[in-house]
Amino acid sequence: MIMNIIFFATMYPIVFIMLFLFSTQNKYENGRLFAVNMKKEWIKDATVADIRQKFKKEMRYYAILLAIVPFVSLLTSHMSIQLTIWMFWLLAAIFLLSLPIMRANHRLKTWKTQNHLYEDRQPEHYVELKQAGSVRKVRFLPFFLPNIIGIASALLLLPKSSGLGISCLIGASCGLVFWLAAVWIDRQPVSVISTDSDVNINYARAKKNLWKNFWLICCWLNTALILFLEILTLSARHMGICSIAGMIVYTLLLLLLCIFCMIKLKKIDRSYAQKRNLTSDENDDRNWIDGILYYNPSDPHTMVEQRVGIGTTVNMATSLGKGLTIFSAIMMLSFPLLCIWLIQEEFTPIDLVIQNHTLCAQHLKTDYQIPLSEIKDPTLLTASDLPDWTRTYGTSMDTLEKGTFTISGGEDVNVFLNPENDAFLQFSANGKTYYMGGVDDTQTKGIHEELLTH
Amino acid sequence: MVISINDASEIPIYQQIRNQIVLGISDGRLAPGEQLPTVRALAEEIGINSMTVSKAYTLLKQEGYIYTDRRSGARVRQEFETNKELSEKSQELLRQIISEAKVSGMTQTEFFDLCKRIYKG
Repeated sequence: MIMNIIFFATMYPIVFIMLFLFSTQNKYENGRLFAVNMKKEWIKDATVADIRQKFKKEMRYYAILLAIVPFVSLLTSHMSIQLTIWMFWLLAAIFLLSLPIMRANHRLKTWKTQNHLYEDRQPEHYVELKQAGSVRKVRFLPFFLPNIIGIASALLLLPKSSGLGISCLIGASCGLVFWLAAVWIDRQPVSVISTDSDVNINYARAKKNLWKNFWLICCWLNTALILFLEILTLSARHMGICSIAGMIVYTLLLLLLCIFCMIKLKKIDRSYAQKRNLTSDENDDRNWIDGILYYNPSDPHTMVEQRVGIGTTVNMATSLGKGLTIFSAIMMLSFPLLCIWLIQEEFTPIDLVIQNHTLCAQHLKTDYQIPLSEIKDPTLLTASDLPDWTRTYGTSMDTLEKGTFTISGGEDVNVFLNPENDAFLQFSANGKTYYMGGVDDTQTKGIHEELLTH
Repeated sequence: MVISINDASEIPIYQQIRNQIVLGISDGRLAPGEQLPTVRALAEEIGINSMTVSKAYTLLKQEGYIYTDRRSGARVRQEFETNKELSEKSQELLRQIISEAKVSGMTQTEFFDLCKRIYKG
């Protein structure tokens, strides 16, 4: 249930953000409608009005559908099924909310072609010469500081808790990804919107400054989360629930930051609308597949400003663009595989057996094999005796906790049990502490007796 | 100063860059002594190989429009050679343009009017 609340809190707003972003495509802004270059007088055409009407209707239909579907997840208590519903919902949201734009874009381009509104000339693009390569906002020190704090604190934690230290180190590396993203966007060419160089430069500065602040706040938020988790591990009692709360707050703050950034970007665009006297090439529409994917073999740029939504997109005609597109497609396809794996994890019961003087913990595969001679002080615990812990790596579900967990004080322990049972084993082996359980309490008690006999 | 690059044109990109900079100098958008972007920065901005921009700069330098030094990079020349003559290459180009104008039926007056308009900017 807690996980489902987290999903609702973190993923449900995504549909509204996307709805807001995609719905604005129905507005004639920056000489474009549905990512198609349009002249103002063309907007009044009856066919265009009809396309806009159809878009509104389709968008409303899909938004209602997407708003209802997540409630299906309340019908099940299985986390893997809930996650599967949310994963597929997210993929469906991306696809279904893009569909009306893709259709409107296609219809509008067909209308332009039928009315011979595309100019018969070769495509050209504008470049700001005077300040080429000099509009840069990302500086080394402001980004270095949060990252070094995050990495240093994770390194300091390593001797105390290697599991959590490594997790925090991985988390801190996200800050480096934010830094790279900031540099990447900062190095994008100046968008030429006017024949006046000052307008172009100021427009680029305003946008790049906003992006720089966005990524810098992301870096600090990331560091704050790492520090919070580290302090929590070393001091708090209810670290499990507190770390989940911390993650929720972090995700919500990131979402709020995204919304704030979108609104600010729109404001910048609006404030420069009057000064805009150059639009990109009229025929460039044809390089935008349904207004969303950019494929232009004659454009050497890998990254271009996207027409739908905010930020940049790749030119799929370049080799780097092709690579990034294939990688994204693999990532998208890996979602269903991840769901299948999670369902298997949740629905396969754990098993604890003694074979050939070895304690074997099996779940999908043999997770642990511990020789009985190495097991010391086997103790039978009840659910209330289990310490408060947080997962460092492994699986943490209502019916399965498996992997390395960190308990208060920073000690790493190996866990293999079903938290819904009431009998668990605690023992030490090879200098590590283990918490294990069988498929049910009877099996756990049986194993305990066998261990005592040995 | 905004320059436009036509990727599908038969004119090589280095030539297009060279032409646009000369155009900028002639109509005053590029002032004498003005700093030009570095080869690498301009190449990144246009999204082309640095060699292409380097070729354009070398051409401009040979023709006396810009000068380069290690410290300040490329700059527009403060003074140009005012020999009041067009290079042989430019004269050949002009000859071609005049021929095209003649074939298209333009009179001498019409051609001169056009030249005056373009010359004044």
